Amino acid sequence: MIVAAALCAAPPLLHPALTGRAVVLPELRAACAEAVARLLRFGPELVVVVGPAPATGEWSPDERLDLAAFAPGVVSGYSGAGGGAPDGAGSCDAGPDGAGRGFGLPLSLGLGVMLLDQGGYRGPRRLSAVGQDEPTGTCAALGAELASGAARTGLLVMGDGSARRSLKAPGHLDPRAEPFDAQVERAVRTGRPGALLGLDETLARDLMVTGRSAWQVLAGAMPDGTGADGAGSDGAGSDGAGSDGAGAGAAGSYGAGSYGAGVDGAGVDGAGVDGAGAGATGVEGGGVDMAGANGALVTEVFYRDDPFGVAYLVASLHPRSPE
Amino acid sequence: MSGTEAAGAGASAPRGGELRLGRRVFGPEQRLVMAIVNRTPDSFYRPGLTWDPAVAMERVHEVAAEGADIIDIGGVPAKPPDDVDVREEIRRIVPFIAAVRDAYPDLIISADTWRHEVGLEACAAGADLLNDTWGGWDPELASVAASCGVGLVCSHAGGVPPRTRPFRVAYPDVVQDVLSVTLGLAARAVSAGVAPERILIDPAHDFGKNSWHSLEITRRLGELVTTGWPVLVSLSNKDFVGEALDLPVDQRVAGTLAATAVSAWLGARVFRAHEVRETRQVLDTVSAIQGDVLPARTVRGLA
Repeated sequence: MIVAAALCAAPPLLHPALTGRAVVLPELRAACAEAVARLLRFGPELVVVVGPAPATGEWSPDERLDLAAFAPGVVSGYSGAGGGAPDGAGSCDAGPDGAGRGFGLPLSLGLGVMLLDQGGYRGPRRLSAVGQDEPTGTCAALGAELASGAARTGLLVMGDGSARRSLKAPGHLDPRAEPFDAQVERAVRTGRPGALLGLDETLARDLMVTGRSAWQVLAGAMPDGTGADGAGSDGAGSDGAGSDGAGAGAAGSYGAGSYGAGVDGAGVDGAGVDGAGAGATGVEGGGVDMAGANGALVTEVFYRDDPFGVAYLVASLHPRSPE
Repeated sequence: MSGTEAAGAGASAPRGGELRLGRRVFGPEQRLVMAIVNRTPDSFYRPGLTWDPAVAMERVHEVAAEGADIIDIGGVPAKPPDDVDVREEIRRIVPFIAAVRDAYPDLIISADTWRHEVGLEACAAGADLLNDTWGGWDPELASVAASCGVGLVCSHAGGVPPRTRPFRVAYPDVVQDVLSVTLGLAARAVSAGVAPERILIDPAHDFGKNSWHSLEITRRLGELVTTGWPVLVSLSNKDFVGEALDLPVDQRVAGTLAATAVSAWLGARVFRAHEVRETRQVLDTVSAIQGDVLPARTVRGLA
């Protein structure tokens, strides 16, 4: 049973140890902290960190990010305690008994763990890597599996949009990046994660999008009641997402950024949806208790911008304000 | 050389590599720039640049802004002739030291002098360090440092009198000689009552040395560093750089900075320099490479 979800950015520079003496993007770090705090306020019995990785697989909660892989010599951050290899079909280099030094957790999971640690979360964790090229159907199924657990589960979903959003972006400028990221943002803002199942896998890869597979796990875990139940990616495709845009709401205070200017109108404030989602409170047995009667979740976007040409989106999705 | 061992037995460097100058304490990972502000009309590099007191104070403002940790104020050029007597040396530097002290209560001020009479007046005016470039020629200088509670630079000048140029100097092993002399002077300073954490050693490039010797002490600077005493190097635009490159005094900045980088890498901690901004950048880069200091801001490839 998913009680709430947080979407956080997962660039290495999110980690304070990797950016030198300067504080880089404090607003992004604060936004991630806020999204995680919001998630934890729902009192999850289990937090599942979902993040993109070279291959799908479960990682030991004792494993850590190997910071030295990003900052050799200066940072000695590797503190992996458990077996290095993922339980599933992993492609990581760690030895099977943990003796062989691999690269520790995949970046996205490592940053998720960091955010949970910073947020003071001490409860059980599950670290689920999802292959960056995993097909949509597999991602959705993974999400459904997460949602089927009995524990009150919080999802921390890591990943980023296109890295081809500007001339100085890691992947230079691709004009398709902005509409792609706008599609993601619209799905989140309107509380319709099911629309994320319509993201094109090939296009995502071309655009150096790291978050696609993890977002589709989210979609599978949280059917948004639009009629698409998460299994059928067709129904929740870009058509549905496109029509969402017509329900123009306030863009909130994050509309000033350079990112997704054309999408601002599609934003739905959490406050505006709050009442509509009230019917969700007592739902049990459905695996998810947060889909409102009309299918909309309460969402809040804490950050969306592309300061280095990479789209970062930080948001929370939940049925109601926690008590 | 036996002198080294004797000296080593006489005084040991402070544990942990702590260096105290004025009220400040520096760890071994910190690299300091000592900016040269000469109160002379005839020093070898840009002669007369700061002969005018107002210009000299402007220069202090400038180098402080550029990141100097220490200002080294001297009134007598290293070269002959034109003897500058004690009274004239005091007249040149002491009022200026007082003025710098007034303007910068926390800046570390070094007096570049070998004479104890000048050292005493300099300390009274606010100097924190006596930079004895001529290798302890005046044994009373250490006593002045002790009684004033200031620091002392113990340097190797090859045993020649102040303001003399090297003439056919030869050493069986110049680094051993440098070690023997500087450690001996450090031991003498400790005996005289100078606080060990305020003592530095300086191989004194070009002083009593030909360029081969200066290149050798640069190459083997690590042997000085391992003594534990903080090492000061004075490389700026010197002849050994010029002779390495066959370049005149006004074209030695790049060579100076190369020697600076090498010395920093090998563990020198204080760098006496004319070009403060450039030296600061070299030291900060070396510190980042060596991992002593975090880079200022890293985002490349991390977005």
